[in-house]
Amino acid sequence: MPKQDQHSDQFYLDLLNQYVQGSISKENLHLLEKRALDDPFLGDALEGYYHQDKSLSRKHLMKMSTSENEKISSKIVSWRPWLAVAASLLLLLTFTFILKDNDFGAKENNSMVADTNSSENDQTYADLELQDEKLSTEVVNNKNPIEEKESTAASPPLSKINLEPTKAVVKDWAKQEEVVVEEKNLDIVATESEVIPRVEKTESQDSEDEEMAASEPEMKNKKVAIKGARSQNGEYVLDGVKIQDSAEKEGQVLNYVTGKVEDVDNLPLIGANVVVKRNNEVVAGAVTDLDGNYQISELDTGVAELEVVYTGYEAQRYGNAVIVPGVNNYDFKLEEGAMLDEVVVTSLGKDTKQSDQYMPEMGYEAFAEYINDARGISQSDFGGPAEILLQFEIQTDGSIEKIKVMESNNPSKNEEAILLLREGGLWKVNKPANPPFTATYRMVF
Amino acid sequence: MLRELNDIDLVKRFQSDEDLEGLAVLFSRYRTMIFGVCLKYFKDHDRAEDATMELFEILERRLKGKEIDSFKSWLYVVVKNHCFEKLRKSSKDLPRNKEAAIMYSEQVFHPDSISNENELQRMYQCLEKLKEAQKESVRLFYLESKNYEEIAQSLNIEWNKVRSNIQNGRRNLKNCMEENA
Repeated sequence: MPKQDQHSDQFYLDLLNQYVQGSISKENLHLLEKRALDDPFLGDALEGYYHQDKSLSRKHLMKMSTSENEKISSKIVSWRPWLAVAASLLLLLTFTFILKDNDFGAKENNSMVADTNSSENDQTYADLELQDEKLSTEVVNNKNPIEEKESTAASPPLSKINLEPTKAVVKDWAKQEEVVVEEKNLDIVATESEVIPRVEKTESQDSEDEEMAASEPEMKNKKVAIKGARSQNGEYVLDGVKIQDSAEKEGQVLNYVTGKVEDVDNLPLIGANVVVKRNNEVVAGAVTDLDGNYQISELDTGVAELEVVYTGYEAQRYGNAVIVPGVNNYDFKLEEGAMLDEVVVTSLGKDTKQSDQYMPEMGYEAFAEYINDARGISQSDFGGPAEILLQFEIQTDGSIEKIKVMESNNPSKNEEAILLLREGGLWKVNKPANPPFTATYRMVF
Repeated sequence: MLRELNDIDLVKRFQSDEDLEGLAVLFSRYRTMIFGVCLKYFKDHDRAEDATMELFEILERRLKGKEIDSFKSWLYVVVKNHCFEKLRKSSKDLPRNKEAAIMYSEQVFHPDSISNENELQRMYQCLEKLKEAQKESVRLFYLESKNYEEIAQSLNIEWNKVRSNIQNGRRNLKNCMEENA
């Protein structure tokens, strides 16, 4: 009966599909639910489907897969060469209209009417012309808003524009027999303004943990408690929406750490993981809210390590954060991307970034292969492979010392990473420098 | 053939020659997940579908020149952020980050994979110390192989609560077992 979690992501994706199709076996559902305990992505998706009518979900998925997929493949096959033609045609037409308007604008009404007629004709012509490559219109229209800001993509115009190609799909690839596509269009255009979503609050986990702590005092520093967001506004809150602090009313929060996580442009980072560590052990954590704020409550006073991890950004930490009674404020400003002069070697043996100043004596490729061969077997942890940034010193003789873990998405693998690096042979420094030379290496395995 | 490539290879393919087909394969691989997450946040099929379709464009744009080592976890962040941002724009009722109470970074621990007699005994002892709801959720899930829905029914709690009960329960269980080792 004990089953080790040894399946691939693909396996669970298939199971999720079976779940939505309603064809999953009881045993597989259990496997899926077990995986969801370690994989928040899957857990969220499962939760999303659970509360919805699955036959409706299926319809939407099918529609998306036909329209989106066909759209993409048609983009690839026929669309690209047309892009330039269609775009310039459109520009030309627009331009012509403007010119015409300017030319005739001051003239008699009669000529205005005539002109309108002619532009209408042109318009129709353009429509016909573009019917096949409707998608290119989409791109022309969308390019700018998208470029400006990601959030623009959420605005209603896009959903409308997005649907144009769907219609085109129905016409052009009518053999696809998807009548659903056509009828659905109407719904979507209308949705943006009318639906006010309510987002689930996963209530009472904290209180659960508090109770737990009350009965089990020895566990109290293992507990995680999140108290929602500060009522304070981030500068990013354009619509003036505030999130009320739920912690205050409970009146039992003694020491807490709060702060804001932003990128270098002062944009809040949503969903960044902030953890409090003591003796290298995570004792509490929180995820930043919509304004990049976080709050971690019920901490013991004293020195702790605060660390924030966010995909695509450098991890950052306060090594010796002092937690005093009351409110402790620690803000983070994260830099995007990988550290300078750092080496990324994945287990696929592909180096995405190599230092030209130093390298393993066996070479980066061979080193990656070595890591790949020597690593332990388990790779079932969520988030894919372990990714650990190591810092170390290269001595004159090429030996390495003082290996430190700078960043890790999986602390349980830290030791293994250090061991692998230590056993991985000598390193050499290309440019003459005063030894010891400090180097970093991002190990992904 | 494209379908046999792994995530990272597809990402690299797209990044090196803007291979939309590769991106489409990648996207369709995760479409069910993405749509599910959007459903969780919007609780509405049409809105979730909009968000999902938009995410394709977002990926197309954001993937360029991005160094990604784990596509799936990166995607998860992008999907959530997009949903949040849409919600932020359109609704006064914003989500709270209560879900953060679940910690994923810890080592995976499944009580049903314990085979050592000693540990098993310790596990049962510790199980008894758990809060009732957590204890029952963990027990029914791991030891009786019940599904979330069955557990929700038999304990008369919300479905959403089951997952957090199991999660927090096994975390506490693990801590207890380590302390008494």
